[in-house]
Amino acid sequence: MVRKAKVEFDEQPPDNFDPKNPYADPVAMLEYREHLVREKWIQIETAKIIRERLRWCYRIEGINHHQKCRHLVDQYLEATRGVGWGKDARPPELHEPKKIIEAE
Amino acid sequence: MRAMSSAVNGMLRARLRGAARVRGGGGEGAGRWTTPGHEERPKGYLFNRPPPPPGESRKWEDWELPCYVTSFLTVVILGVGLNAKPDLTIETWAHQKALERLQQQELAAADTQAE
Repeated sequence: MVRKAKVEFDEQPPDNFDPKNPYADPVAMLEYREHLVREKWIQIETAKIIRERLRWCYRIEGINHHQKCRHLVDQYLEATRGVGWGKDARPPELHEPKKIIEAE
Repeated sequence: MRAMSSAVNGMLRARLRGAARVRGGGGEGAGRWTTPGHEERPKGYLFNRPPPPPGESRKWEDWELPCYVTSFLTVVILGVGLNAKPDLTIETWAHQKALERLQQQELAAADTQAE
């Protein structure tokens, strides 16, 4: 038996899962749950990558990091919204997706 | 009172006689703490093994060859095998997926800016 050098997961949620009737297909429900966990892991790693880039930007730009790293700061703050485990105690404005202020 | 004191004296005398017999029976002088073949002082040999005759080297014992071979193989197998183990953790997979998605987002942003 040759061991796999890489793991492959399906990037799409299961087709036959119905959120309104979860127990209609228990296998699809379990697959959907695993899919959610994988998506959460991807979000966590995305936030880590952006954080590392931001750290390097601060080090490279030096005193100019306020202006030159602004875009990375915004990106990182957006990447950490609702990401990670045990974030239910966070303030809602930081936890929930960012609400677009409609200019009237 | 006299009867009791005489009884106690008799018991003491009996015990003393027994002790004297035990000690006297040794005979060798070393007492009860030694056994035949006891060595009083160390000889000074490393691992208590006399050195081989001059001009000769120590002969291997029968257990040494398989023990050394097996130990060497163990170290090699573990060193090579654990290093060659593929990384199948969810963190690594998620890291790769996150990098791919970030690249896709950057490409999409570049396309929108170009348009």
